[in-house]
Amino acid sequence: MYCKSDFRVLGRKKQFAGKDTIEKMVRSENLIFEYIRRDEEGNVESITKALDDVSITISKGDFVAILGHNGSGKSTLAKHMNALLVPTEGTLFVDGMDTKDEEKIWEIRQAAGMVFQNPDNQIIATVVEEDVGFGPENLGVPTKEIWERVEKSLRAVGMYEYRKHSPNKLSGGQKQRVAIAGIMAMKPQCIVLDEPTAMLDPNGRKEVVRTVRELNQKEGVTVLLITHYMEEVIYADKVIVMDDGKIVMQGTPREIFAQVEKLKSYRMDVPQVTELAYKLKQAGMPLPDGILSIEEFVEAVQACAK
Amino acid sequence: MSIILDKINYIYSPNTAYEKQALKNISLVIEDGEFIGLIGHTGSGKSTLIQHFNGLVKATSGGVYYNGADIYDTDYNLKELRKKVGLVFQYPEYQLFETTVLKDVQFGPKNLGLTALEVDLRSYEALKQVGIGDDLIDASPFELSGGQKRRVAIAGVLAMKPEVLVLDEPTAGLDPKGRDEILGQIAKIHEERKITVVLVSHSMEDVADYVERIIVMDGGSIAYDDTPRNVFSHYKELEEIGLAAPQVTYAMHALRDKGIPVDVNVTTIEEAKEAVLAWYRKD
Repeated sequence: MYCKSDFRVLGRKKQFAGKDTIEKMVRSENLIFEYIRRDEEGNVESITKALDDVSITISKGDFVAILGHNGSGKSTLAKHMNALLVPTEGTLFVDGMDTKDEEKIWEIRQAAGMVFQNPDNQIIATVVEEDVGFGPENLGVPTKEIWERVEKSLRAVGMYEYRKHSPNKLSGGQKQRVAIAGIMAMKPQCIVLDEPTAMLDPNGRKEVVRTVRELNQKEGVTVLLITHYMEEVIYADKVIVMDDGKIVMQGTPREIFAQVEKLKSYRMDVPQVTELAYKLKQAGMPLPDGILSIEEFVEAVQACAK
Repeated sequence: MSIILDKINYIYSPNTAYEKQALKNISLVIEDGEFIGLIGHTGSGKSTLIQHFNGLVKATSGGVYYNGADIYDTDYNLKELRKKVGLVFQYPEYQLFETTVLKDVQFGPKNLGLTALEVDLRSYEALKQVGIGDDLIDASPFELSGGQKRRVAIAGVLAMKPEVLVLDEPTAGLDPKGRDEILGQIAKIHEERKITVVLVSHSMEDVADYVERIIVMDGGSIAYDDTPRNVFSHYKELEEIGLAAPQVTYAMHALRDKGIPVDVNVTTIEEAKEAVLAWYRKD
């Protein structure tokens, strides 16, 4: 049942937790995806390998962040999670379902909901609560239950007071939270967010990240967050770094951010305070690697005073 | 040589139910050769303000003067003004449309009625300055990465040889390296061409690293207009208007709160490093 690649990607602790006790939300085995470009006659002009031998396992309830520069393959991977794209080679299972199985496609899409970058492209109704109800309605959920789900989802993202508002009057962060509520109303087990904060201001970013963390912690939803903002990653259970279609680093935020130079070689960054601690250490201060927050930084510097 | 905004008010959809005052009594002088960061949360009026710089939006009341001339004069040549004040909008890569990178950059200067030689010279120079190499000039703009496309779009404006370059969120959606590359190139262009640059941004870290002056907008008014150091010393007030200082500024305040006497008015990682080391070496 379980192939080698499972062990390669699981955290060390989980390896010994017994392989059968961990339920898998997403599992890919040697996934390859190629974009094939054809000329006017339909002959193959060029093939680009967007994903190259990607094997990952995401357990239920995890908060996983995916980092990688523009064009590294993160969005392509995200689009595999709900069968918007299917592997050229290899397989991807979502909640045990093979995404290549066309009969399962709607079940897969219900299990893994997606939130995209631009909030304006995801809202379709003229009233917030109708927008959130659109998903469950299409699933054929009975009317009474639709309204229960709408209320619950809007409360979960903190937008219940805005249920009668027009979405186009909301801020970017509020629109993204409505989009997330729309996904939540379909009761997915997993939410995949593809740079949900890229177009938002600092406040909007905080709102969205806080909402996503709460859904993960309180509702137990598995979260896959793709982002360029390093500060959003420090709370994740696991960080995956992609480059050139491959997974090049994975581990806890601390393990990842301890490797400042390596991250920079993949066009990534570290939080400012992490970089500051790293530079101070190079200058001779005895600070630990992988400082993630201001609190940790202050503690470490205080320790130097003694 | 300057842009002067004198008591600018701007009202959207006046006399309708949607009436909204986007700019309130803004007075501002932008001197030649300045490098300015314009920050403010969504809806604070930043984008409306920059569209006043080249007359794309006409103020409801107040005056705009470019190099001493009133741009609202009936015989003022707005077309000339728009050559001198180049605006790069958000997500400019969506505005690329030609079949090759070079053609796209040539489009602007061609429309200025320049000779073919001059058009070529300017286009090659602009592409070089944004770091697009010869290997890419004949590629289709649509084959490029997000960061490359954006640089081509900026080159298109640069090739018009503007005296003032205004960029609205030039780094939105780029990866960290792409962010640094574009900002580094903008700083270099500012240096080499001695042009005025106004950078609209959400990212306090970016602004703190590059600019000499920060203008903070809130609710259509100017909340602060000062050096990065002085502006970020108001970090608590900035939070109230939906902004924040760079993370290192907070880190220094946190150290000070724990009794470690470091300079709290730092805005960049380098400054913070020096501040902590100064304390550590003395201690």
